[in-house]
Amino acid sequence: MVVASPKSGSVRDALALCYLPAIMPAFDETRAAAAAHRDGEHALRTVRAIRGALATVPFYAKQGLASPAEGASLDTALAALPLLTAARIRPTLPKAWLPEGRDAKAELASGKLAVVETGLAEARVRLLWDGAWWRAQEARALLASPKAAAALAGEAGGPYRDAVLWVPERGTGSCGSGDPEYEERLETSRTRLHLNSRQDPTFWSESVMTRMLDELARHETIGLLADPFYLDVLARHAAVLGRRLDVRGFVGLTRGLTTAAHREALARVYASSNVLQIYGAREAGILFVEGDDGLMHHAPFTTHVELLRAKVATPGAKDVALVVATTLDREVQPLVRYVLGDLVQVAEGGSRFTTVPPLASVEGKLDDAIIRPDGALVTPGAIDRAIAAASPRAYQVVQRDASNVDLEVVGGSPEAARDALAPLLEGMSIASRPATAIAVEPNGKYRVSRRVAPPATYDLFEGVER
Amino acid sequence: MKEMIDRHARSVRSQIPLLTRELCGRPLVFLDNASTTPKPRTVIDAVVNYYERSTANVHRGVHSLGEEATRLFDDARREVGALIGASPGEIVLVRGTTEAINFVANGLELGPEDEVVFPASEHHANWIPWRVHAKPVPVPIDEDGVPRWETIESLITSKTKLISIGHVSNVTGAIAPIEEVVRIAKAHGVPVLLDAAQSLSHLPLDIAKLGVDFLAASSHKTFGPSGVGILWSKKEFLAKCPLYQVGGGMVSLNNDIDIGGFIPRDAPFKFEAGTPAIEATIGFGAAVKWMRAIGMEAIREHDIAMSKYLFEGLAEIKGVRVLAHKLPYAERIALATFVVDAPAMTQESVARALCDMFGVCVSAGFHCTHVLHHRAHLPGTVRASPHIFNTTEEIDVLLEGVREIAS
Repeated sequence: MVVASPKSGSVRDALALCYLPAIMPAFDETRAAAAAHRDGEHALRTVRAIRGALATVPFYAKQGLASPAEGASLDTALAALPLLTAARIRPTLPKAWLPEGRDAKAELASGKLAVVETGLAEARVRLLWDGAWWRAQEARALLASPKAAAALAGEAGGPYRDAVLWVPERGTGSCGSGDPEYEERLETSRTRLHLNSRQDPTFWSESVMTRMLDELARHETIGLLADPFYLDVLARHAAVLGRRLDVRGFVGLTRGLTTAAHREALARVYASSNVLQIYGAREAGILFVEGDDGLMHHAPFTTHVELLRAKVATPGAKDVALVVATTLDREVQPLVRYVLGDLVQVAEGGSRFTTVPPLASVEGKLDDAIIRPDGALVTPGAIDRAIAAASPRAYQVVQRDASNVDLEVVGGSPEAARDALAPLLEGMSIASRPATAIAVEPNGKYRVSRRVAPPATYDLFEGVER
Repeated sequence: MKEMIDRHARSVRSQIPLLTRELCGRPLVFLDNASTTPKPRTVIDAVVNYYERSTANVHRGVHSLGEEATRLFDDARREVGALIGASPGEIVLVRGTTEAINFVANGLELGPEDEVVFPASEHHANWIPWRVHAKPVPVPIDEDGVPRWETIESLITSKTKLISIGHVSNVTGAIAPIEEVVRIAKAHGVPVLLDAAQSLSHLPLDIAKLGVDFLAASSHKTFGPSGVGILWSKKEFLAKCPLYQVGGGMVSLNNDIDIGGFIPRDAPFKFEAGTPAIEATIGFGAAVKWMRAIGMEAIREHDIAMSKYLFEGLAEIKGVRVLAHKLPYAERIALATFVVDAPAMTQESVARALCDMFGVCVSAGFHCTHVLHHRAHLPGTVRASPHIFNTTEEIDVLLEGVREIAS
């Protein structure tokens, strides 16, 4: 339970019920509730988290990494440690990630912890999942947005209740399992509703989508956290029916790249002013939340983030960086210098809550970026901004080899999309064609761009040794 | 035992290109043959050869390529027939086991009051057709998913129109007591359908000895391509069986040029409207030829020894429940379905961990047998299904992985 009870409707109550890690400062009950506050000890806290992880977690102990000295600067501590990748986590079992003295079997059996998976194919990892931790840090991170904070405080038309729309966590993966009912898709607290139970939205029936729209109202939804890919499909259905999304507080777009087409579809059924970007990762928590200045601010207390700047040209995007996260309060499976694989545009200006600078945008996965023959890196975000001029409903750019890309376009002119993309992919040949749908990944989502060859490596970024 | 298993396996491994793959830097251990088998080089070559040298439609081309393609295609049907001791004229080529069972469900012209008896452990392919076309009468199963065969006779009534059984369970690996079932069925004048999806590549089969009325099987679980399978039945049934699809290729005479109507070709062609899956069928023939060259007795010998090795290994691991582990090895194939007691890890997650950490490919989930899992109170299982090419060393890798996860 992480959100306000219906009676009190206060964030204080919500956080009091949360799982509050020892390293988080005590919540100040006298201060205004609906706001995040600056972590003045962010660097110190990060060094302590690294020391704790290296000293107590078998995965790190096995590697014999030297723990940073007490009082070491954050930069010194980080520089001495290697990057951690999904490939290194994948072949490990849960027990490698539980701090010494904790009984993995008992905690897993009790339901306090679960094993979940995130990512696709080569990027897939198994995680030890502490649901209480996730909800606590999520509620805490959302306070970085005044709009979300107000909603959490019960100031958006009722006590905070939310719905989520992303890759189904409660649904059918195999034939014969059936679709779970409304009650089965409610979390125990009854404040969070999982709208989706079917993987590939290409095959959502009209009745399924209408059911989702009805349930937003039935659940008295204040916040909707949605993958823009899924929400796009639902929003288009709502538009056809002439309905609007019944979400009283805000819509948070998360877990995927928001394209211009997604925004446009959503704008037809929901006020854009109440939409905010949330950048999170199942492995690490919520990292950045869009503030009232339109920038995404680093959420305090959950992570430290390193933004490794690109060493190569990034046409169509400014100050591109690779995101590396170190978790601060993830007691099980703490991650130290974990490469999330996401690209971002770093914004000018200072951080509000930590020492980590704000972001102008999340630009998609490094694995999905296009690498030009001249070595320039074109982010999925840059591709989307370029292609938006052609206004397709959906598209996918696939780099087949060093100098050729295929472009499939749904609901728009392939030629116009190709022409819009051409300046960005200088030196490459673009073969465009129409499509009625984009091929989805095994999890039901599609990527707006992907690369078959050649592989990009992390050494395109500062601070990563060859 | 170990030496014999490995001798058989090593004699064929180099013929299967997939087995040279690595996963996450480890050699691939393919133990998912109950889902589909890897393809030998001869099968791949047969398909590629058709594309590269003999692409043409069958039974209609008057040119050389058409004749070559037809010869390859017809030879495949003959080869498959030889595997089960059947005449090619009794074999209808369909898309797979599921279509073959639906073919029978349609052909028997069942009504809503007609009853079909089948074990409650059956795959959806041998369940849902009976729900749609008739009244399903499941044979009770025990807590491990093994049918209580002693009850089958009590379920037969005057309304029973068919007994339909999986020859080998895709979950427990148990071999059904066909002789006994056929004896009971014949005593009541009820025909028997044998779903041989899991047995065609594991057991020597002889239609005459089996005594069943229908046999359904797929190519892709028999080292062949997907998209083709067989329905075998006696000529008498095929002669009177109603058509379920019509079109080109199945017509002997189109009388609409004068008196109206049409005359279909004889079976099996009257059931094979349209252009068939030519290359898949040719590949199926090559797969059967490959298995026959190894020898079905040799495959079975490997299978029994492998069952023993696999089940004894799993039995030693604490925290692992193996379904139907008490069955004698002679009454099962080498297929082990089990649950790993790894708290908060789903069985799907266990299977993914086996792949990510050990390069072992197994199935996980319900294996299209939700009723069996429901009655066994299991929220999913892991299934390891070796075949002739698997070595004891590979089983050791599986066991090491399961042991690690269960610990």
